[in-house]
Amino acid sequence: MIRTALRKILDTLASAWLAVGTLAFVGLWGIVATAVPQGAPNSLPVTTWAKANPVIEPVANALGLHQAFTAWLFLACVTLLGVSTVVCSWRRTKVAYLRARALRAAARESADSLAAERDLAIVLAPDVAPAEALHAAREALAELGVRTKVGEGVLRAVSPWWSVWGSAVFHWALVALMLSVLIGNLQRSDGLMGVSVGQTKPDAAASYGVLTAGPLHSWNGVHRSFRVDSLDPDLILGGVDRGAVPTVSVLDAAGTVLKTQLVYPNMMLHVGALSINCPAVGLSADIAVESTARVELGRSYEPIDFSQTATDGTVPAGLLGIFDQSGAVQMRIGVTVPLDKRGGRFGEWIPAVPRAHIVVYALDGSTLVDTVIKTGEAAQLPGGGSLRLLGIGWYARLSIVDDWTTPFIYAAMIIALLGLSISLLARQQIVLAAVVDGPHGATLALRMRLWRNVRTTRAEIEAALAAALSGGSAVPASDDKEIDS
Amino acid sequence: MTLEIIFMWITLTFYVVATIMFIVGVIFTKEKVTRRAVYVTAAGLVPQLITIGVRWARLGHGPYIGYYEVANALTLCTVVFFVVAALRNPRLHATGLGIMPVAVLLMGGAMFASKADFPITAGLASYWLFIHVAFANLSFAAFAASFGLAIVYVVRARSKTGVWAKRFERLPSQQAVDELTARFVLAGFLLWAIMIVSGAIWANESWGRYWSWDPIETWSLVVWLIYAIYLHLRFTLRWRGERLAWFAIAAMPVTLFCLIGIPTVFKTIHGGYIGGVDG
Repeated sequence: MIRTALRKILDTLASAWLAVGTLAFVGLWGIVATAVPQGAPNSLPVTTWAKANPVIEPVANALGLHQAFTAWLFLACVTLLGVSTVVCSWRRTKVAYLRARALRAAARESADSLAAERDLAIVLAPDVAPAEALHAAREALAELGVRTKVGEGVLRAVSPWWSVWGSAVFHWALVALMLSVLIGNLQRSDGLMGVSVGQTKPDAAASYGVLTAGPLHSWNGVHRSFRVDSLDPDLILGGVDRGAVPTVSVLDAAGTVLKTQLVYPNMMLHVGALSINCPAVGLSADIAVESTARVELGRSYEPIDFSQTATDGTVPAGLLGIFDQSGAVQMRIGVTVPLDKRGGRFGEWIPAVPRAHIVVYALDGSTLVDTVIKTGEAAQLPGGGSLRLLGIGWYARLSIVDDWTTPFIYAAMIIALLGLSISLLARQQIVLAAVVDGPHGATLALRMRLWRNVRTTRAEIEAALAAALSGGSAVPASDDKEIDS
Repeated sequence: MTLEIIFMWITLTFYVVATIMFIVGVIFTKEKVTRRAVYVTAAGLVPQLITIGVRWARLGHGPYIGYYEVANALTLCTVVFFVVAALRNPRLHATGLGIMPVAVLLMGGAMFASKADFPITAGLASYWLFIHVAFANLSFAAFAASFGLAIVYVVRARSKTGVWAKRFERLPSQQAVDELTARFVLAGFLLWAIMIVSGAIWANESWGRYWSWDPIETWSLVVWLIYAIYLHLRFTLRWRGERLAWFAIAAMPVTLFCLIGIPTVFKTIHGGYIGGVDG
């Protein structure tokens, strides 16, 4: 009873209709997902769309269409597709194994065993000498696109053993790809970290401005750090303008440099499972926090992003918090750099006279201080102390991905392509022929398995050989059989 | 620039004339006209190669950026695929009736698109660009061939009076056309898969992520899934004939929309290859 139920479940999972249905669902879901803005429920594109489409929005929201590719419905369907692919791969493996075994046996087949286990026998015409029959058969088959070899009295067109493994390998590689992506999502970390030129930051969650880490990602044992050594604001290399390009170093726990290189599009920094990219750069204000007695209490590199729509041409990448002795936030400080204008646009480089625009906010958001200071000058903080501008430099926004599954994903994709190529291009066939003595006289005993990518059909081969050798018809063998043709 | 445009117009003229000849040849069962249409199509390749070559030499990069270049490359691959197939198997001449209008539409669109010079930007400066684009073009050509064959199949199958069957009588049997359609879909499926894989590897090297569900990425997967469904229907569920031919016909506009429409309609990081900004 349980076995029957299990078999039914497996049959359902292996069914081509289920595969077609899940593939269609994933495709349709993808189409709908591109028409609906993706993002968090409170993000601007999503809220704007929701206001414009009040009728559809509840449905889209209930289905999770705004985060379509992590929605439970999509993930459930992909899981079903994955399980179906596993069952399907297993069944294809069994077929491939049987076919490969048949191919190996066919390569060793003798004329005697072929006579005993033939699919078809063609009685030779009286004027066809047995010695010439194989030659005539070979020519007839060649005309149909079946190239044969003759050896030990047997005519053979036997595909290599690997030709039948393409489909199984392709499907298993797809399973491996899905598993690698799943494991990758569970263990990878992917984040943005702003690092000023000359600054070193540890690879820890607190160093990232934006961070997505899988539930299995661990920071234990990660003792490396990142340093931006320099930044060329306009690097031209190989005749191509690479834009602003930082030189980035990865250091181990002891501070030893593991790798240093220029980082720009198509030139990522790779160290083990770590990949570092630089999607953007901005300015950095080197700020010292001083006591009333002008004693330096701390220092901060404040990252500042370019924005053509902002008043100064820049916006703070984050706000600097000033804490009291108990660790509670007292106020927040936003730092921007007023840029020089040229041709109606802000020049995205360090201005001729570097200055910092300091705005101090109270916890209720009201402005306490709003002042512009030059390098070396200080802005007084409410309640004592000051912020001194030490200099304006560059910062690189590094995109840092830690994912050891990437090579496995590449490997799975490449193996899938190889499997697909074999499945689509390699012929899968067995054609064996030998002249043997039969009850009707000399006959051509034939065995054929025409599985895939074969240029001809069984009927065409039978007709061509019968015409070439007997001028008559072929006699099917009583034990005619096929292996999953 | 002027030389390029002149040769583009010459190419378009050749392809339009060839298309008219295919229509006349097939409708009036003029075998000679259909055969000559193939030669006219092949002749059109010469000015097209010249225009691509001149532009390549001038800009220092192949036809990769901007609708004008992309459509030019897609047309070139489609026409080369068709001409090679038609010259190898003269019985396929009449399939030009399905394929050449696609080429003419693409070329016509290119003529009205911006012909501005777009340099290779930092994001595009990679050998992956050639691999990725080449396989996109080749796969499109294979799908276009399957589309042309499927149209021929459907027209012939729906000809109640047998008039169209007679017009297409030089073509291989319906069974052979059905088989050929599937072979081209298979080829396109493999080439499209290589395009996706090369794109994923390149994206990881350029942007730090191999897949980000960008509209172009999503739609390229959608196209691949559509043809995967076709192959399951054909080889596992043993579908044959007209309904499968309709499937191949319906899949083609989706492919075209993925390559041309998506970067035009949606905001995408891939938009540079049509709009000509950094991709």
